[in-house]
Amino acid sequence: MSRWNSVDEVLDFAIAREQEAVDFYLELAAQVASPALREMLQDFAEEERGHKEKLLGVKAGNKLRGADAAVTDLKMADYLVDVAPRPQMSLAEILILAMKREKAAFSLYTRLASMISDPDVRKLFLALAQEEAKHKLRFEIEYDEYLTEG
Amino acid sequence: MEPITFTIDGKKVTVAAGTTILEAARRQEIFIPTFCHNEKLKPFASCFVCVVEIEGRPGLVPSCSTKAAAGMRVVTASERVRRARRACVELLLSDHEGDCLGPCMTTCPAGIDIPGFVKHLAEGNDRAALELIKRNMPLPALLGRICTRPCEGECRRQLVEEPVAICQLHRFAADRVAASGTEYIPRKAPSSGKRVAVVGAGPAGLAAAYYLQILGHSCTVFDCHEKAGGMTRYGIPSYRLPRDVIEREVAVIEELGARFCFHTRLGHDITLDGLCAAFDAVFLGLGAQSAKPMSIRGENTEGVLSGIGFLAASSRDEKMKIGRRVMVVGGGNTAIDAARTALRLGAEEVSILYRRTRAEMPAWQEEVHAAEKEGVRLDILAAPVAIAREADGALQVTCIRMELGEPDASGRRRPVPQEGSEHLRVVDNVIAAIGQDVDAADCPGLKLTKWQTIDADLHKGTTSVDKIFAGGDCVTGADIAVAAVGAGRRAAVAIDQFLRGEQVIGEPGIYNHTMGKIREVDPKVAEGFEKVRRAVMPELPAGERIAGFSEVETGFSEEAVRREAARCMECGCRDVNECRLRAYAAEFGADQFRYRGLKRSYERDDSHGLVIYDAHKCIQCGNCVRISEEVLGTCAVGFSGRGIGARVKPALGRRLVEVDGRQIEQLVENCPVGALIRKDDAVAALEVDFHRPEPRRPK
Repeated sequence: MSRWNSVDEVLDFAIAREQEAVDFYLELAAQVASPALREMLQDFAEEERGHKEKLLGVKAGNKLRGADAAVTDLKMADYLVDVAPRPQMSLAEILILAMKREKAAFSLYTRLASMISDPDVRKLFLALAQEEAKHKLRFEIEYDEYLTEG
Repeated sequence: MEPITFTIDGKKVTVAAGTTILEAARRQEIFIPTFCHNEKLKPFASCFVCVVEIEGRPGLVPSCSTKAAAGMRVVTASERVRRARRACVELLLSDHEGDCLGPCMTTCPAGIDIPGFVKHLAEGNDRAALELIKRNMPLPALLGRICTRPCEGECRRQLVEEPVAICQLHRFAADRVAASGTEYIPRKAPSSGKRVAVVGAGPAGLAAAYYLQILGHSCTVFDCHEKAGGMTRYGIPSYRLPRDVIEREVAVIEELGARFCFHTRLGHDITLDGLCAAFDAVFLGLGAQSAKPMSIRGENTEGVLSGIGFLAASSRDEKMKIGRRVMVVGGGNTAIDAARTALRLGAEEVSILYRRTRAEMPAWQEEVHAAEKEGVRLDILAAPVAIAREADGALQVTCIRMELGEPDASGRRRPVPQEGSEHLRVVDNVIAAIGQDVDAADCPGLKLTKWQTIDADLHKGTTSVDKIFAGGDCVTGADIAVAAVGAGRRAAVAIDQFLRGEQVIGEPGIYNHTMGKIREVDPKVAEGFEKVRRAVMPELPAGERIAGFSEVETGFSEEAVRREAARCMECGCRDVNECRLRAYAAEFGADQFRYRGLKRSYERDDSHGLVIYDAHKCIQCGNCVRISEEVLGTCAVGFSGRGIGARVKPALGRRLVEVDGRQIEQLVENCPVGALIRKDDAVAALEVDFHRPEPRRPK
């Protein structure tokens, strides 16, 4: 994988992905019928923008600390069925969509880390994967809360 | 003496020299609160609640002992005075131990006067009990069978042995009156000529209609189903709630004049805009009627049912094809009801899969036990992840085992799948009962939350549209029926205010001083009570009950009811309607916890034949001590000790029981709180006119 020659290249890739996520949520927010869900999606976009800022900070010299311990995996993203974005989405569907996006990002970074020999770049990919696992957990917990009544 | 002239709140007042500001104000009917002032006694100036402002003087002065002077300008109601009075009341509250209202009553989401109605039952007054219950909750026979009884969780009788069977007692009161042949129909206010549309004939809508009719308005109740009851009819099997019980209580609402229109669905047969145009106000009690999806593969396979769909079909006596092996998914009451119904419809192996632990099951534990007794198997910490149909039509369910993970940031332990725990189970039906969502899609123009519930004020039911009110599950998400009933009643009060053109403030906030939750209460409150076992609800034998849908719980005998009702400890204060501390706390918006510190301990003396002395409620105003000295000329009672440890005690080392009856009557009369109360005073029903919220102002 000659594409990843430096830490900066990896960061640029990750930053672009976060921006994609911002755009994705904003686009979906513009589509959904419910004003409250629109607001929630705008908040998600804001969170993704925060992630992007964090990575820009890393590029500028801040340290990206991976999680101290393994991030809990509730595995909901594994067994819940895929949902396609559409205007009449429910809260639960949006959460499923979001956790699956985070899971995909986690898998991508983990896979890339396994292909890289440069130890610094590898470490960075693993730290990014951990970040995505944390984001996924946040959505899984919210889904778990949604399920608590039953 | 020469008269003098001065002003109170800008009003010119002429009084004889030597008159106190308090006396002068009272003659002008200007309200000044006080605890320690008593016209029979010399001024004492100890409580300081009567403080007023005198222009030109830096500090506030007690009006009970300050004499009016010529030209003085007195202000009795400035913000500064109110703040000072509030602080004085809060200081007294900080050392006052007791409950204004029984904790059962304040815990009940419908606010039923539980100690009051239980007392009536103990004395054999079933009709009076029912009338008191229906002041706050119009469905006692219905909820007496299905309520999850949050009240009993706070019942202080647990500190002796077990909580009083409150819920089953109100069932008795309702059943008894119904069996007498003359239902209780409350009196109605004169007709207002206003019309209200109530959408949904579930607990919230029924409660709203009941109170709106009583308040003089004319309701039309719309429901998409063919009969009233909402989730209580279509989500709860008849072996727990016989249908004639629902009919009976709905008939009372019809008798009050409400009209019911069934088979009428919002968004199809009627619209919100149409209702707003045709009625003066609209109440939405739509419930939470759409089953939460499991969102796993194969969910739509034939043979997979939703819990509420299954229960509704069974409730309508639709021919249900249910297999021999049934798996129910979920841990709430719907899951338990679905499992027990499946057994009654002929299933032989019924299991319930729940992804958390037994302790976390939202279902009522008694129902869980009943299900197990009938043969339902509980499979906890397990969840389905995919369903496939086999060639023979059976369902192959892939399940995983869970374990609780480490507590997360919120402190909650989440179920985490165990590695390699996937296993297959073969069943004939899967019933998914993992909760219900609100479907408010047919409410265009109304502000919804992200859960798609109606964004409404929980106290008043007001929504983003002026004449539309809402309450119950469609606002809170799926919750217990008694909470919906409370919401329906509160909304009725707000709608009434709206229809009369008044400010919509809802029911008045009721000030309640509390000893705290059951875990925080001094165990001494249980002293002196003999242990008496809680009455056990008779049930049909397990073998007999799964053969059909006969009511499982057959009801208490009269003898059991009288004995059970007598177990009530009568928590709550008998002086609740007269207590000045409570009235002033409400008046000044006091907070009992603002000056939380060392508090007096629970100390009751009921040795006297006529009175009870609750030393923990005494605020040391000194009225009783001074009455005994200055009026009676005896030393019936006096202060013993100093500071926070000071107590009012019979003087000369006597015991309370030795105080003369006529003397003690005088002391009781002059106690401004409930520290000294007559034994023959019944447990007081709270006299709040929920339609007129101004706090009372005792002199």
